[in-house]
Amino acid sequence: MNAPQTCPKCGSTLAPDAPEGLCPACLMAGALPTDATIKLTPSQMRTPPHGPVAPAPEELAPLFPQLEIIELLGRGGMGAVYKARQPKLNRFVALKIIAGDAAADPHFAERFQREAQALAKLNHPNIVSVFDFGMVGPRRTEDSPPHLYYFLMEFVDGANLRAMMQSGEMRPEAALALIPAFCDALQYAHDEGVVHRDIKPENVLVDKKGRVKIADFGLAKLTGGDAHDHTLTRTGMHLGTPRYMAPEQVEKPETVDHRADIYSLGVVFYEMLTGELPMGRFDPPSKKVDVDVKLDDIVLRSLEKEPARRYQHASEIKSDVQSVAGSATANTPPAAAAPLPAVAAEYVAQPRLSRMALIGAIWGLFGLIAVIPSVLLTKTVAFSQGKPSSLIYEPPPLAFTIFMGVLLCIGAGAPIGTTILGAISMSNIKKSGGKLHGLPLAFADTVFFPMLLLHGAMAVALGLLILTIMKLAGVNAGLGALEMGLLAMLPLIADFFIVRSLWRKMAGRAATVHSTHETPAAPSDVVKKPRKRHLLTTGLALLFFTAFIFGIDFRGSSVMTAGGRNSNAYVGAFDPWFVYEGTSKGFHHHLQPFSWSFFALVVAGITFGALWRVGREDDAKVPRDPAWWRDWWKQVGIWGGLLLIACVIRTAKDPQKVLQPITSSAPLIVAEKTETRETDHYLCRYKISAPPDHRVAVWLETTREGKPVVLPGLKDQVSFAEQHETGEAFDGHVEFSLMNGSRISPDSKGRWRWDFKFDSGKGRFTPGGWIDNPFDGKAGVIMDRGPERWQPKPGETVSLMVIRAGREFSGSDFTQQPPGGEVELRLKARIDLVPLFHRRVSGLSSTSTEPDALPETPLGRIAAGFEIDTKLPDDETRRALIEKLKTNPSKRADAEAILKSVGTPITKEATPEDVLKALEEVVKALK
Amino acid sequence: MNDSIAPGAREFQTTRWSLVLAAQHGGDATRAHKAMSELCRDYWYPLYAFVRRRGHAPHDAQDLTQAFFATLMETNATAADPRRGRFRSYLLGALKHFLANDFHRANAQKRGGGQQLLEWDALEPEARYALEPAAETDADTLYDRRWALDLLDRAMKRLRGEFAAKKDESTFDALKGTLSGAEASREDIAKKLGMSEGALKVAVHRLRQRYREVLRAEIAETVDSTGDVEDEMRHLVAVLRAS
Repeated sequence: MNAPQTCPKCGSTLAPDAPEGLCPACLMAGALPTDATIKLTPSQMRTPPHGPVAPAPEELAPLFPQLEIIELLGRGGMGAVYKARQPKLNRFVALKIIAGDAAADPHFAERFQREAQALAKLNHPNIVSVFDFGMVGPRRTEDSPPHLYYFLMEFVDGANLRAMMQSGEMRPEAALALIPAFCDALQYAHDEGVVHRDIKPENVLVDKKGRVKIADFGLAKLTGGDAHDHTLTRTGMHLGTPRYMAPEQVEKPETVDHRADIYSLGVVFYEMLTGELPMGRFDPPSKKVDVDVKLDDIVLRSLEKEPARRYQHASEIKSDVQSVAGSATANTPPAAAAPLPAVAAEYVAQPRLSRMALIGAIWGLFGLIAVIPSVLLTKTVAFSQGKPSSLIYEPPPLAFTIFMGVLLCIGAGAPIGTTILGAISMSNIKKSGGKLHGLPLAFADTVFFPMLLLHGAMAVALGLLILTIMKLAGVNAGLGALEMGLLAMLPLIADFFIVRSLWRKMAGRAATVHSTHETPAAPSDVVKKPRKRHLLTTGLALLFFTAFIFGIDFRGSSVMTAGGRNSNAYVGAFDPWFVYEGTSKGFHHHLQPFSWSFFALVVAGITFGALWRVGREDDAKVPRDPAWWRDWWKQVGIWGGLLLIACVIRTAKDPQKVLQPITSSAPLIVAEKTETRETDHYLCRYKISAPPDHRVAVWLETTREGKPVVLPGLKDQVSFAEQHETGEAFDGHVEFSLMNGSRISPDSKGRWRWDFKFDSGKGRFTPGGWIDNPFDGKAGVIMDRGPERWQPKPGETVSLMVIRAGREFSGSDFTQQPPGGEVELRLKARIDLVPLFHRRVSGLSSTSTEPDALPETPLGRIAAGFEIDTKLPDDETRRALIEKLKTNPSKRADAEAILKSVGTPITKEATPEDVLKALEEVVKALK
Repeated sequence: MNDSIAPGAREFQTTRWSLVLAAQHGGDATRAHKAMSELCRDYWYPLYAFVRRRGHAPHDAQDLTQAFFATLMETNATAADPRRGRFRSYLLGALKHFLANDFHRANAQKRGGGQQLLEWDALEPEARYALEPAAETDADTLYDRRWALDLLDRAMKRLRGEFAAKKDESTFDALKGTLSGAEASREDIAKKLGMSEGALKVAVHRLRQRYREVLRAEIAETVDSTGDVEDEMRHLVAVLRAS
């Protein structure tokens, strides 16, 4: 045997079927063009009409090796700002780079340095700090300055004032709250001798905690505050934004001092209050919006054209503003960052659609979406067990299972989730006094799933009623599809009235409460509400737990196939909570008390509980309950109790049986029974038709001497069930065949094959057990043969085979030791109709090979397939093997295939003994 | 003409897969049918291996593959999406779908019945399958891998055939190692073949070129546009490396 070869290039082992003895991977790779290294060329800084193109983060990265450039935050007049990270310090920073054009000025470097140092001195909580600055990139020529100028600044995680103003109408209170911090920053900078020159809403940042930070101090000077620089005007917003510039900045820029900032502040202030810019002849703020008249003076004074007539210090503005706003905002300590949580939050969301109602609706939709595809996916699974010659299990990929599982878990929680979110949202909306809207949506959330269930319950009740009446009247029939459809529609009438009255009750009250100047709810209301909520939760949850009893289930199973052990998990919707087991009395249900659906429920419950708490605080602004833990235990108690109830109900007798009369009124039709008696076999065949959504189950029992006997290899395979969930009727055969065996003599140890002998022609079986009536829902077709008794003679054997749809399930594969003397055999078979009240959702599996799987090496295969040990077989086994080869054509074919594959083919004329010999040779060679 | 076929496909009108795809949009149906049957004849083995790996017995696998092809021929790949032009993935998807709808199997046997698309005995499917490495348990990977290997086999056979026609097979044998990048000592080869180093370089280069052409042509048969060929190659390399 040659040693396995390896590829000299990649080192992998070469398979014997490698093309031309070459490594296939390298061979294929050799046909590809050589990979040109992809060079990242930094983009040229073009100046299209709307401004220079900002480089991509990857292009910047090589220039800043100590930084991780994350993303472009925005393009400003001067350049671009990026979010970056300093890994060593583990903090985020903002990297601002200045466009090449701006840096073309030869004196730029000098100015840059000066300014940067001035900025670095500024250290104030309301000013964005500068950490570093410099120049990077290659120089175009010896004399020209380097490519890029940059600033490394504090990263502010928030929004700028422009965004805030655009998101909603900025209320005067927010402006008044902002201004003090703003003034502090300005005053501090002015004291340090730095003038901003470019104050505008884009440069005022508010972080998530509500702190105000002014950015880009003094940078306007860098880009040449000269109005004569034409490049700036071409590219647009380089030179401060004219609208915010003080008049002297425009006309006599060299005379500009800190009072220009005051003017810009005034403009921003005006814009915050009124939403417009003060242009030409403008109205004072109090005339445009509802603000204190005293503010007018402040704003107008800041906007004086003559710098001398303006406020001379930012701090003066602050004190004036504070005195107008009242004591509420007076005590903001100048050095500390004044948080604006309430203000900022209000601005971002006001007046708004109730988030809860929206989430509830989305969740509900999602739940519906999760269920529908699961129902539609029933076709993907076909099931079978047994030897490879049987049907195949067809598993979709694992990722799909996981996806479906997650989907179903979330979807499972939807009914409860949506309803409760809707209910709470409704009360929130009512309480919010106009701040939240979306009452109809919340109402829909609240009632949708309960109404769905109610509707279903009404339809079912109606159906039961009708059936009972029919039975009492002596009419023995079931309900057809048409009738059931009508039943489903009827309760719609009731639905309409119920929904209407509910709406009136719930929404009616809201209509009177809905006015903008409603005072907040009295404290007593706040205290009462939680109890009502709990009741609501409990009631609704109870309703849905009942629904879950018929609900979603996960199931796992483990099947041996030729390729190994197949472990499968599948997800079923409305699966019956039982497994079938066949007995002589029919199919028996065993309940599965524990399953994945419980897990799904628990997850849904916990998630929902958490959501509820959060939502309460957020939406309704109910102050956090100081004794929150009390509330927590209550929730656990409720959910735990419900879970327990569900468990109890589940372990009780299968409630589905209640519904069976409605669902399984269809008969099993045994259309034909044929019996064939030959000299060597007896065949009994039933042709049966099963209606859609029913399963045909076959069960077989053999007894010997009155005791049930397990036929090795037969038991599992016979009590299979044919799944037909495709909606089509099943039309097939179930065959039972008894075959006279061969002439093997007793073995040396005196063991006998277990017989079932019959005389040719006369037969020892009387056709019996044939029940000539349609399926009545309780008993299936029973075949009962025997008991037959006989005394086996030496050399007599009979094998019992079960054939289904032309395929054998067992050959002459069993032996039993007779206890001596007479042998009795009884054969009973039963065909049952089992209604399917479930849909298989999806099946997913992961195949794992376990040690007891069929080994796949040639040696192993031979050994397993022919039951020869790796040591050579002894005579007895040999004889058995020869017998097998003689009688079993597929075994023979397997042998021939194996022999051919190892290069020693064998002709069809060869005797079984020769074949065996050849196999043995192979075994020897492969060892 | 057919606007819905992927751009660049026009130059590939003569490849078999593009013929089949073209047939969906009013292209020549008889040619497409013939092309389809040729494709089936060439690419049966990866499908067979896939079906076997899924757990079917040899005889069943044969039946299924046969039935699958019969179905394919009948529908003439009408379900193929021309924007995703790979025959390989299309075929696998169709096979999976076919296998999942198990009840079609029984009917297909009646339908396809008689018309033997493949001579199973001569093809010796099981003998080949017996050689598959047991390490893989994933039928999908096996399929792809088999596909790639078959492709390479075919390409190499063609190359060998070309050399044999020139009565030059020994040269091919000596040089074939260079195709996978395995750099055997060039001087040794030159000596063995009685060539100068320069001549050897030329010969190697020519062989390489021809190999590339042949392989790409093979792959092109199964994709829809030029751009896809390299993609497909890269994918197959990945598959081969992984196994």
